[in-house]
Amino acid sequence: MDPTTERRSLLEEIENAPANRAPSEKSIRRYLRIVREQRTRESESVAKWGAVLLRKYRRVLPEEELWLVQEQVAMAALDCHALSVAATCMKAISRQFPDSVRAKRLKGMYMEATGNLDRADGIYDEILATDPCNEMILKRKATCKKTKGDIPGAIQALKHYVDIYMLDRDAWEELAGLYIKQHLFKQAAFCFEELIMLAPNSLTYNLRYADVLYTIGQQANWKSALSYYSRAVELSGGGCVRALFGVCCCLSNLDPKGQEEDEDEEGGRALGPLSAKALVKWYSEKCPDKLPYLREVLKSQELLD
Amino acid sequence: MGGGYKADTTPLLKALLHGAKFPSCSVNGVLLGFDGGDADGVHVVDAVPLFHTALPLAPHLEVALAMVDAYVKAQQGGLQIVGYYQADAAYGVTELGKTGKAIADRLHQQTKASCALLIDSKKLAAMVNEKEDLPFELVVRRPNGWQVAKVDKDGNGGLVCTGGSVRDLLLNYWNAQKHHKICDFDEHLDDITKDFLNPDLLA
Repeated sequence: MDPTTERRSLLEEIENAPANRAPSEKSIRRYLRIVREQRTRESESVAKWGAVLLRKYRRVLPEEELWLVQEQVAMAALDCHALSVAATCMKAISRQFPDSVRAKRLKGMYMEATGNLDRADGIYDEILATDPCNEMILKRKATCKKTKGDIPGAIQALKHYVDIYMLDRDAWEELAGLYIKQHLFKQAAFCFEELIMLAPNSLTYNLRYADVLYTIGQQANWKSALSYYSRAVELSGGGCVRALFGVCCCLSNLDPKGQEEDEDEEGGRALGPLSAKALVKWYSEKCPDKLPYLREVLKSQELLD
Repeated sequence: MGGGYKADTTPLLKALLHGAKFPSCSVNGVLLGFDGGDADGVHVVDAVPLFHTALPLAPHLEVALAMVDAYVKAQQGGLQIVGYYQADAAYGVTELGKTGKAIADRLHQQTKASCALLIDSKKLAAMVNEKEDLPFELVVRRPNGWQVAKVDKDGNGGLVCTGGSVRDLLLNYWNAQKHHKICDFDEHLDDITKDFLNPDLLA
């Protein structure tokens, strides 16, 4: 069973445990492990069932796993604003690891969650005074600024971070998201260019880069966006509906005049009707009730008769 | 807009459940309803959740609006896109912002009476604690731009909810995990079997 299916099936089993019995300790442990490995964000479930695990089965957990679970539950609880659960885990971790930077980061996150952003900043600055390139803490500085609503400040902080840790894809994605929020699309495009260099066959990065280019607009960018949407169609074996729609949107905007002489352009223009047909095929098979609306959209883009 | 704005519980709950499904994201969607002119005002009867990622990006927004437009025209009976809703990821932020204004302006070009509803997270917390009735800020188009609708001392001028208690219904739906079942257009694009119209969600 693939991890995603296993995770969903474990959660269903845990949630459907008989009312008079706690769910299986092995199932909760396996579920929490998969969430850690996949780095998914299912904070409600993690906080709820992780707290059950810690309350009922604490003594069963090996030492290393116990503290991983404590940290995981603390962060999930902060995400759900279950502050008393988070505080319990946080205090246990601080007692066990009094000098740990990870424990201090958790305390900083608790301060952020309770709105004490200046205190959180203070904790982070204290750590950076002796370890100015600490990965975790540099990222928390950026999130503090984002929480305060200082998006330009968050951008500066993250730019400083990626100057040092330029292979951190999560950071580049977050930076792109901040630029997009500020409507700084050219800067967002730069972030996706870095991401595509790091992972050229990533469907997500090729798609998002195309989305940003399309949003910037004008003929040259729609042409570029078309090539990245086409790459996304190729990477997905023709199944990516986002990419197919992207191709249709680009071609409905591109100026047909002056393009006919270029062979590549002719090939490019053929993608429009092909993508439209592919969309019609997918909707006919999987979503026939929406097919009439799809047809209207494609007709308005002059890609369907 | 002389006739005022009223909304059934369905669109308000769909907007709130959409935000509840993606609490760490900004979310948006459109409001569907009927424009009764100055006499009867705008009556919002449904909401279509659109996005929870990269709200400012254009291509899929264009497709989403075109699909919803095709849907309302197929319903006949005068159903239109009559507004836009948005919830910001950050706590306490209630402003349309650049993206919200651009989308609201676009919808306003088609329907002059269209409005915007901002989910106010502070009012939402207050509503759960029974200190507020509705967790929305109604924003309307004035000559100077989009502005929060002024409510007079008798409570007129704001959004009127036609049905039961939004708070009670929301808490019931939350307990029934309805927020995990709502689908937006973003999810539809990843899996087209997911129905962004959510026809039976609150049935």
